[in-house]
Amino acid sequence: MSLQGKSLVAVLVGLLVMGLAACATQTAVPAQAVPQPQVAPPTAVPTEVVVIPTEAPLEEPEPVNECLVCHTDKDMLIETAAPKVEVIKESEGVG
Amino acid sequence: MAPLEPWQKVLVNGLAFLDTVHGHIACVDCHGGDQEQANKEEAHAGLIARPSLDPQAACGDCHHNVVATQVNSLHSTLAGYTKVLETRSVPENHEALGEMFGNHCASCHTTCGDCHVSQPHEVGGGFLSGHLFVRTPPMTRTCTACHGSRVGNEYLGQNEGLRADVHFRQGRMTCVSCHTGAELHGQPANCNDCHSGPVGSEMPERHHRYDGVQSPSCGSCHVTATTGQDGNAMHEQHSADLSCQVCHSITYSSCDDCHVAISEVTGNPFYRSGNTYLTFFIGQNPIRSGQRPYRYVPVRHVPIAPTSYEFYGDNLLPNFDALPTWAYATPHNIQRNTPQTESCNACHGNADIFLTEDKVREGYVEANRSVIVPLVPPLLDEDGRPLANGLTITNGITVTNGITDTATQP
Repeated sequence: MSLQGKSLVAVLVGLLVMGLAACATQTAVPAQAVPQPQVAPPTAVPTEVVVIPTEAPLEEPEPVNECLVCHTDKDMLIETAAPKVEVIKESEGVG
Repeated sequence: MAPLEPWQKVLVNGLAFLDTVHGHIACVDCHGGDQEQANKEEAHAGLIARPSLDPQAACGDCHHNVVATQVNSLHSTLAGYTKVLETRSVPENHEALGEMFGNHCASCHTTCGDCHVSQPHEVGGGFLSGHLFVRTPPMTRTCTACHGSRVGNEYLGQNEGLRADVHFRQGRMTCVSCHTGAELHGQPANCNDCHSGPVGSEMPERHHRYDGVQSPSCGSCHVTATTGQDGNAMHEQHSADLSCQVCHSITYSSCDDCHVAISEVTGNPFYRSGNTYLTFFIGQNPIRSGQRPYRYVPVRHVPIAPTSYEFYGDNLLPNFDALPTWAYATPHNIQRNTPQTESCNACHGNADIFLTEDKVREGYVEANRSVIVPLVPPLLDEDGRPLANGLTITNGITVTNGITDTATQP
């Protein structure tokens, strides 16, 4: 083998070794647990609560049923009744 | 029925009503209007005073089975009036008669509320019981408020000197004791479901309220009497050829000559009926059938005349003679003992109580040919046999063995 041929083989071998080494680095590293930072459990910290004064909630009033107000009140019905219309009775005899 | 004051008609029994099923429905859901307005006019804007004029909208959601048939009931359709008008008329007159009907007859149309909430509108209205819904309407404030001048007066004994019907007087029965809610609501929708014939038979189309099987029927309670099996010789002899009322009803009302018009003074429709009088006449059964095989039935004069509707046109009833003016009747004044039950000859040979031709007014004879009794049944001897020389003279009519000799009329 000529010197030129040996050099070429050496280069190819070198490239192969470098490629294998690169792959081996990526897969051979064992997965290690990533260390988690230690966080202290939350604790209640007394804080001063500022109470903002608000108006007391208003209760929704029951809507007044004006129908019943009037129609259960005899006096109101008498007061608001339409004036009696004199009906002329024109029919005669037994119906 | 005493008229109510305006406030009485619309005073709601609030405590009682709100405690009922219908009391949980908002007023405006049925009646429209505005329940938040205290002012009467504003509250009543869009008011529906009689919601059940549209029964489906007012009542149909819950009472769909009743509403479905009620609209076809006689109380709703008044079909009986239409039937007799059309029978006596011709199609080209139907439009004029329809206008007449709308003005004078249609107001009798009955709604759900007219019986179950209020007194009928036609007789002034007004709550029956503070707007509570009444399952069984009170007889005198609903049924006889409309059916008063004949049936009501007879049944309640309000014709002077005449006793009330025994079913009311002693039985305390009301209309619905016989005329059930189902019947009044037009149920079932097919009349023949109740008024059917024997199994396998085909009933003809119903043209008359007395077509088909009797329902209600005296025989529903008095089975042995109506079949002649109660040991009563009269029932045995006559149960097939006399309707029960021939022997067991008493004098009842008849009317003549009702005329209708629109008032020139007020623009309102009005009627004027002629004579009203008490009668008892036995006529021939004009609709004899297997279900009503009777040869004789009581007949009542109905207030119709050839000129009854002349305000709406000339000669609107050209077929006036197509129906009798003495109509097959079922008077509601039943008694156990009547003048007819006193003896055989209370009827036999007694022309006074038979509708003979001489009792029919001039011009009405042809119309009544089907009910006029041509031969009065002959007098009977003590053994119940026709007298060979039976003879009676009544009102100038000579009756010999049941043969009426009209030639002897004065």
